[in-house]
Amino acid sequence: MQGNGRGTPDTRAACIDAETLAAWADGGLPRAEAAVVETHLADCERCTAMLATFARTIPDAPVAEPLWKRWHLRWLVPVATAATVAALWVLVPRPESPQMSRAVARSDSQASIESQVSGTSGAAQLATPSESKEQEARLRAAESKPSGALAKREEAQTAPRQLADARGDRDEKLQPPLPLNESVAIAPAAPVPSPTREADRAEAKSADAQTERFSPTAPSANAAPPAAAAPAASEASAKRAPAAAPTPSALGAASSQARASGSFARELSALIEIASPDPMSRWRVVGVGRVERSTNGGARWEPATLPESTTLTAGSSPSPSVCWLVGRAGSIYVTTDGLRFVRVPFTDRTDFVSIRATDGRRATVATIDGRTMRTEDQGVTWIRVRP
Amino acid sequence: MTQTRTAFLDRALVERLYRKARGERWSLPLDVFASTLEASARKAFASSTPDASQLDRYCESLHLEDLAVACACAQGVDAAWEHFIREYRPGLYRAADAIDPSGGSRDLADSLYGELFGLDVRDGERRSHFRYFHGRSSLATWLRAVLSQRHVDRLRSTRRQDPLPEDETPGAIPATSNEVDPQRAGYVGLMRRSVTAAVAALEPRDRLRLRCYYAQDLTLLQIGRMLNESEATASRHLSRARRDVRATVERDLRAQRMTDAEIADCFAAVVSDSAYLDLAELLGSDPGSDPGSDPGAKTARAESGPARKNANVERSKVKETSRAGQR
Repeated sequence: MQGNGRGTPDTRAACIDAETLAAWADGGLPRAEAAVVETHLADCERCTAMLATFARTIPDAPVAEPLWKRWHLRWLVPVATAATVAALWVLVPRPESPQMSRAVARSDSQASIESQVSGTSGAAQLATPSESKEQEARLRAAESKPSGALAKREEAQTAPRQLADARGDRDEKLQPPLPLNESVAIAPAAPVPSPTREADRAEAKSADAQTERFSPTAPSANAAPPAAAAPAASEASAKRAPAAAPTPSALGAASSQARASGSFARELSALIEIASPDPMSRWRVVGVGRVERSTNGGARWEPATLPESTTLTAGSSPSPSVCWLVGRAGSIYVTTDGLRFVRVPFTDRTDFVSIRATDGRRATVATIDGRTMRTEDQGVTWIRVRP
Repeated sequence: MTQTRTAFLDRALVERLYRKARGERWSLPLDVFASTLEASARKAFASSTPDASQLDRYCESLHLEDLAVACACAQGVDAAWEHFIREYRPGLYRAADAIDPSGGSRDLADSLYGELFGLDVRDGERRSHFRYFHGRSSLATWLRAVLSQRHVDRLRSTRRQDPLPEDETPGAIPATSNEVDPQRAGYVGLMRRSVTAAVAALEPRDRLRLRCYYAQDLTLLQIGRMLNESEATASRHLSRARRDVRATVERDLRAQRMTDAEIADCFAAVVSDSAYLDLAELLGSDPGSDPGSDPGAKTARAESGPARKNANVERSKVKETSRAGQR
């Protein structure tokens, strides 16, 4: 750091010059000096402004080419596929007999994949053992896709230097930058557009008009084991996600739009308190898996019980005794007596950014990957809707 | 670029670095390159005396090819200039357009380009702005940083000369209403102090993220690129910083014997009018104002001392007002 040599007050003497800023940005400073620079950048108005201006000039990083697309590795794809199929053929035990069940009508490939898992489709029932094995091999290969698809999506979205970080924080990526649910008590009815909702609207323009219906809980007639059904559902959602998920730049832009003057106050105050239509009855999230309820307008709080400890992100209360909460990894809870929350099933383990409840059975949730889903039977079935 | 004696660096090291920098491509004199290296090392080790291994490590970490280009341009080597114009000047103008898409920063880029070329002649010697490039970053990064610095400094100097807005103009600050609820005003005062102190207590990098996001209006993507982290990580850290601020504020208010309901009222008071707790205003975002006049930081620093007493006094007033209202 150095002064600017213009005879300005002492506060400027410690200001950062352009060369030091560039060295800091390129990682050319020793750790101790970089820490000093960073502290100054955090506290000096002029230098923060310079840094922000500098940040706006950073060009878009080139998108990393997926490993499997590199020309010198392409020959590995058929070899690896053949090896995987051969290994599955040898190692996977053959099912004794296909179970009888009724397949759930679905409009996308999820249905066929899931029915293959349970071996319930008519074709599966009629298949010879060898055909059955082939189907199983194809199925298992398909099951391995979600992680690959997700990784591919992440690679396309992040710069090379961010790639490892983004993968390491896959769970955290689902965390919204802003708590934007309009149901939060203290925050005023949200005039602020949610990034996810913006993405949803964009998706709705491009998506066809079909409405997809999902059932999170396998009906009794459906013999598909939940453990096997979950990956299939994940795959289906992963297939849809690239079109629906907001790109990093879109997310940032939407976040920026959401930042009207004073948004910090709203966001600070919205972690997370949920008011019912009766202002005396309200809930608040006070930590991971910790929820409290007040029946006297927040003067006194008593702990509510959740079936499990999970990070919660939003809530909605349509009446004084009903409250819905959503969080990470497909977590949805509802209470109808105000104190005891029960888990509401959902189709997959995505993260939620907001919820709007109508009563104890009907609610609409927004997921981090841009979907809006509605239930009218407390989660027994979910309908994908336009936002 | 002046030629100085290279007492700081070993000759063999200079020759090795010269080869690595491909200085011969520009027919760059070794002595000139050596003096450039020495200037760089002297800046990096301004407050310490490095040993040979430290110098070696430092020099090896430099962007040597860029340093050689800058050095050759400063010497007026035509081939180097052609290379600069082809490889670096477009980036300079792209950065200017990114700073001001309406083209308002193009003149800054032109001016910088002129200074790089060495239009400034002093004592018969052409002085190129390249002398300030030390190779600790890439040349492209340095150019963008210089442009950013000039943009901000110009903005600040321009805003200092702007007249204060008239009462009727949109930018005028409205006078406070006479009908201010004293209890709410007290809550707002408490919250402003408490939040400012909580933000000041954050780690510098968290503070930087908050500043960039709320005061400078950067996107998460821009913050992530700047701090060499993914957008998701920037988002996560920002959320955590907000939670920390929230927890600290609640703790602070509870330490002042406020009830949960009063704390909720405090938050509601600042939310009802977001201008009460605008982080941009608390931390200062206007590059036109005086440096070091960060009211939030000053308040935060003072909070640990006598200001804490004042806060308690104010809290007592709030309490009394509240009780009076209940009666």
